[in-house]
Amino acid sequence: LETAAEGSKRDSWLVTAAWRAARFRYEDGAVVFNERTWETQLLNEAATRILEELERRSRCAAELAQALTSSEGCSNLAEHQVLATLEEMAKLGLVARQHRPR
Amino acid sequence: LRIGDTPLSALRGQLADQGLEVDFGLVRVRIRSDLPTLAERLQRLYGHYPLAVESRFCDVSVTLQRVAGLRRHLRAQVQLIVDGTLPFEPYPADTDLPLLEWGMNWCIAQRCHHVLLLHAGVVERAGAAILLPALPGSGKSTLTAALTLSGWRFLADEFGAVRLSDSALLPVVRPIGLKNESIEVIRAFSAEAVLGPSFPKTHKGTVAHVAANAASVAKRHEPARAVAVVFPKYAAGVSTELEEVPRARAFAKLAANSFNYELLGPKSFVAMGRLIEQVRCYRLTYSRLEEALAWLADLHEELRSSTVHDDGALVSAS
Repeated sequence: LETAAEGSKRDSWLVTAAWRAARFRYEDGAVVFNERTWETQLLNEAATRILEELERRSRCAAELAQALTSSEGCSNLAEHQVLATLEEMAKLGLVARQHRPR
Repeated sequence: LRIGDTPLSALRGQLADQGLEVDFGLVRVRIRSDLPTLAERLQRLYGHYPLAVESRFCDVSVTLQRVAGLRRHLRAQVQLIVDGTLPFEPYPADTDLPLLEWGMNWCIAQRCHHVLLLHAGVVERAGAAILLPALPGSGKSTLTAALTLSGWRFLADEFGAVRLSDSALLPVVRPIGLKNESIEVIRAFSAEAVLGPSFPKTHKGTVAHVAANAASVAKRHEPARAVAVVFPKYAAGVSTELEEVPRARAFAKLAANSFNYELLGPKSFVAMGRLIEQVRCYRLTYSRLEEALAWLADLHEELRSSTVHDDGALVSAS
């Protein structure tokens, strides 16, 4: 049997229209304008790199952690840290989870 | 004819009658008053502005007058009427000018939503501007006044007005408000500083105003492009330090420093994002004014010679 945590680790993530809509990229991260709430979200470099990776194609936290190992500003991001960041960004409406069937 | 060249009697008559119209660049204000002291004070502070020969649309109309009633015999007070409303409690009669200046600033902050308004000083030299956003007490006005008295063009002390279409900085050429020790610092800094009277015991302590110089008034309709955003912080006894602030963080600091960022929504987001793209951002900590000016001049020269303005379109991947 698979636990919920194991299932969520395997889930794939993708960026939403909110990330694609309006943003500025700077050397230390990005700012994103949420057109629904009119809030401006400030993202650090690691969160921004995660979104940029997901923009290329959707993937799970483990794949993202692997892809980011060589990235400046987020070189030692463990899988659980990537997952925590993804869940935080999901609350902001920037990413969405895709359940990957077993 | 400039306001400074107008006979006082004519100025008093205009203030009491149709009102004195002053074009500050971003806004045009009509001032009415029958207070006997005001004409002379305005003549000193607004001396370089042209005297309006014909009445035009004014963004703001203010009337400064004595409070009527029995109270005037106990403790004379003045009140500011803005387009028929009374936004403030009356002030002591001897603080007519501070009330007028604060009242006009309030009007600008309340009404000028065709631009992104940052709480900042702005100076420019050789076509490249520095934006000095700050919290009260950070030394922004002192620095702005000293730069202006050192040959920089003065664009604003209180309002960094960012044009929404291209993030250019629009002048809001109004007197520079100084508080407490800053007044004597600027008086000692330059004999060319034209200061109005000092008003002690206001809610901000002693305040005085520095008049905008003739060159800055003459260019009050000429926008400028920013090359740097410098967050100044005065602290007694510290050595001068200039530290770069990463731009995403600077964006957040500037947005928090704005009068109307949230109100303008996507328009201010784009204007701010574009502004931050075209500048470098720094934190300046200082205690010695002369040293801070020298560091800013060096920074400006370095950035100006290396910056190629690029409007940097909004990243959009629809």
